[in-house]
Amino acid sequence: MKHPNGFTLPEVLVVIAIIGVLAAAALAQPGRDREHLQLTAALRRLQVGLDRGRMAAERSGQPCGLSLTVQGWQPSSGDGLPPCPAAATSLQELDHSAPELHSNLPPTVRFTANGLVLDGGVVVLSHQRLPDRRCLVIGLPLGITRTGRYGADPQISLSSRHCRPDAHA
Amino acid sequence: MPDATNRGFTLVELLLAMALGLLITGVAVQLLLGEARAGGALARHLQLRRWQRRTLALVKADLQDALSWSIRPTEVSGSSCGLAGRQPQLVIHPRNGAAPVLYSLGKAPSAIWRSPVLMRCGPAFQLNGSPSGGSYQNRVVLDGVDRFAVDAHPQLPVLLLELEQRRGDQLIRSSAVG
Repeated sequence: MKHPNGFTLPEVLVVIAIIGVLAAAALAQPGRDREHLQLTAALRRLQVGLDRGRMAAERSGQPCGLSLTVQGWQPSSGDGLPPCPAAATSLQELDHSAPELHSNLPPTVRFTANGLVLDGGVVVLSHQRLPDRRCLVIGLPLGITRTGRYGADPQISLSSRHCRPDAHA
Repeated sequence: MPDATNRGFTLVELLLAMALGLLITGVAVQLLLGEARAGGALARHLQLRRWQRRTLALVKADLQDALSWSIRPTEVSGSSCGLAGRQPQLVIHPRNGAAPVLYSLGKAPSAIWRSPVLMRCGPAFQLNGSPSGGSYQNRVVLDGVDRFAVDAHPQLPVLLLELEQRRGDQLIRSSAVG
């Protein structure tokens, strides 16, 4: 048999497989990303829960209340308010280590019968394995929300002054 | 050629095949990314429209209880909120004789909001959604507002309201009559 003067199919496949493995290893950033995603998702769910509360109040034409715990938004019957129906929102889908939550919201966030928000403030989410903290500012009376990075210690009293918008926003 | 069957691929054939493959994959990825971007832009657009409509509804609710109003007054008397360089756009004198409700447009009071912001200096609300008789608060209603136009209707005693926001290259506009 004459010596072949090209690459055979098995050779080509092996080379492509090796390139594929190397590319996958380079593209998939290891480690921290999961906590980052978890914080981003929790922030998003904070906003979704607030919207749900507002819409629940507007839909039923009744004022209602939600309270924010480390698990997420829970219907709250504090202050003699009915809890917002179908507005419970957990901050994470799976049972990972929960992010730390600090906020200066009152125990019950109240929504008016026409969907205005009566209690606003700052919520800070952080994770022990991440250096930066994410924050959410709730504006009144529409309940408009903006997110950013929190530039101060969340243990001491929170202020929206320390919540700086994300660079791209 | 007797040995043509086990000749294998030449380097030129391989490079050509890989280049073609990359080209096709690249085009497909571009299309997918473009689709995702367009979806995101549409979602943001709809979100902004919702906020604009709610903002206009808030102004309309204040106008419903109005005895009189003034558009873009040069000076505001009787208001309990500082303007901090913002331009007063609409002053609404409530029918119940309380202090005027003031909408102003200008620089944001804190960094989280995008200037210019639309602020409302007025009473907070009760659980049933009507204004409370309590103290006045100056609050950011909506941020990144490029235009908040208030004009009197030429014949009818109503106001034409228009909100405009620019985001990237798209312009989102809502209007209402109050």
